[in-house]
Amino acid sequence: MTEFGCEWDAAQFLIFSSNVDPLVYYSHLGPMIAALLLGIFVLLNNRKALVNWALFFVTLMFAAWTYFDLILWASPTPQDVMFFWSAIIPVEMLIYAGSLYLVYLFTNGQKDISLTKKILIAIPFIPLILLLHTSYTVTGLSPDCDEGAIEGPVIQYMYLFEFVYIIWTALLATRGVMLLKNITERKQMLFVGIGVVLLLLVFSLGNITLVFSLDPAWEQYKLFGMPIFVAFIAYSIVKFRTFNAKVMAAQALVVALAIAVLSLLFLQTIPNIRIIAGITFIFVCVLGYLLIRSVKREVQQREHIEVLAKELAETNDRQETLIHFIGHEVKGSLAKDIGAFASLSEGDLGVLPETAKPFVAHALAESRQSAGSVENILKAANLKKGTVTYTKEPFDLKALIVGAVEKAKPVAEEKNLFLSFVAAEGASYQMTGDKGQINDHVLRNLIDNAINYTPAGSVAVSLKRDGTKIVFAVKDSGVGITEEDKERLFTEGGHGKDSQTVNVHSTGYGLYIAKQITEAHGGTIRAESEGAGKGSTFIVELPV
Amino acid sequence: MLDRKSKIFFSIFFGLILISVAVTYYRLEILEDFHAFTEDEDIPRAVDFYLNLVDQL
Repeated sequence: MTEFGCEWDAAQFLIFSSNVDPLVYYSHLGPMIAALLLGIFVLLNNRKALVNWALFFVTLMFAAWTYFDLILWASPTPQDVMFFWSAIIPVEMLIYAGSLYLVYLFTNGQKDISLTKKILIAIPFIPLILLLHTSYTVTGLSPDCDEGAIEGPVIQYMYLFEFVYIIWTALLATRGVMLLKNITERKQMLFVGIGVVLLLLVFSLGNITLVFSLDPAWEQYKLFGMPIFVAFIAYSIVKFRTFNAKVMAAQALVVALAIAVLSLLFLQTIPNIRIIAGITFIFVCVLGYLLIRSVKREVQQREHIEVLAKELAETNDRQETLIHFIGHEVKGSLAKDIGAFASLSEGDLGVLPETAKPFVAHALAESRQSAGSVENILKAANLKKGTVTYTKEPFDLKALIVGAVEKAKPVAEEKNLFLSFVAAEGASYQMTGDKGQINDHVLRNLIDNAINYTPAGSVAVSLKRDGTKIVFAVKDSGVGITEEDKERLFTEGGHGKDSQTVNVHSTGYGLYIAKQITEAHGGTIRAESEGAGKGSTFIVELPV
Repeated sequence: MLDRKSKIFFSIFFGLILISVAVTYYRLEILEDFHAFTEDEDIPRAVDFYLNLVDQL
């Protein structure tokens, strides 16, 4: 086939031709595959993240550029050369603009940037869009069939703005590394920034050769920016889980890349390319070594954490034994105090002077309260250890609640609270369970809590059947629960933020125990409140 | 992921680039409207465009 006045064979699929040195295919297809692999791999890992789409776009544009460039190497058709020489220009600019956008996303916590910034990035495209089809972009065909087309002023303009994009990207990445407060985000920014800037700098090598009329073979080197970029991104993925990608997949990516680059040494003949490929190979090996080292360090840290976790479990066991010992000692001592104060109060040891009576009554109440707190702590420890036993028997929950409400009435009346109990009529409230545990740690706990945390107003206890469940609720007009407090309400020792200012005896174990016991009976417990000062409702659902 | 304004912006931006490439395709591939230089001396230097522009300014 005769084109350009030269003897050339026709290209198959636009890119395969015997006129093209195999080296060109290798230097193009290798980075193109690496770019596509990285882009697709990152996108498949998380298709909802904008930053993953941005990286995919950059790698896609890079692959498109490589494909168009292969067409320019292989195609002997003048109109193809003219068209693809023009079409490659916006694709090349998009690699630079896309990379800048990617770095912008990293500096912005991986969130989208403002429309103004996007417009700023896009403004340099305006002359390109307007003049792409004109002879200002590609002036015409060269008389020399090796060089193809003659580049016009628009392409010179593009080279200038690519340089601007590189400076812009480098400054932005540097600013990001300096200003980002989160250390992981900062390190991610560092690796992505270095990777992107190196990609763009090496890519610009080809432009420099064209501008300064150097050996065209140098243009081949520009594509080696992509393996470097892949290596940096892969390291960042492993080290900081950038793009939410998995560690092992990133290692596989680096190994595949190293093999691909190493095989280049055996496939081509031009010495300069050997040197560059060798350098790239060393570079990839160094990064691969760092990668494996970081994985090893992570494994060592995990093993260390496992040892610490084991030691912590043993310490916890010892601490629980100690709590039991101290708890029982204190409980025994408090039981003696309660007995003594009760005897004094009831006059078993003779008539008390009137002035001493209030003190003895207060001491008795305080001792009982303290004994209750110690009991709760011991109960929680036993529940955690799984040493609590339940004696299950059939009983009437309604009768149990009536008893608990009656017992709580004097305290409620003392605070001028209206305590009521309503049960839906005509339903059976018979259930099987540990009557004592449910009464002491669920019913009494919730009713007492409602009274303690309601300075004025009412406490309404209700009971109803809902299919195979019995629903018991305690609604009060008290201090209410904030969203923040709701999260730790049923946890071990979990206080509400201001709970101890309202109830000084709060241990933080009452609701934890209530939850454990309810769940041990196959039931559920939850709290509802519209917020602080708006009262709260505790709802227990127990199976029949 | 992207708000409405950004979607409109990207649609216009990539739409304009595609139109520009399509027009270029029509001119170069369909009409084959381009100049083939036969002598190296006839080839204009891209930098001259900017030098002339500066002169005119």
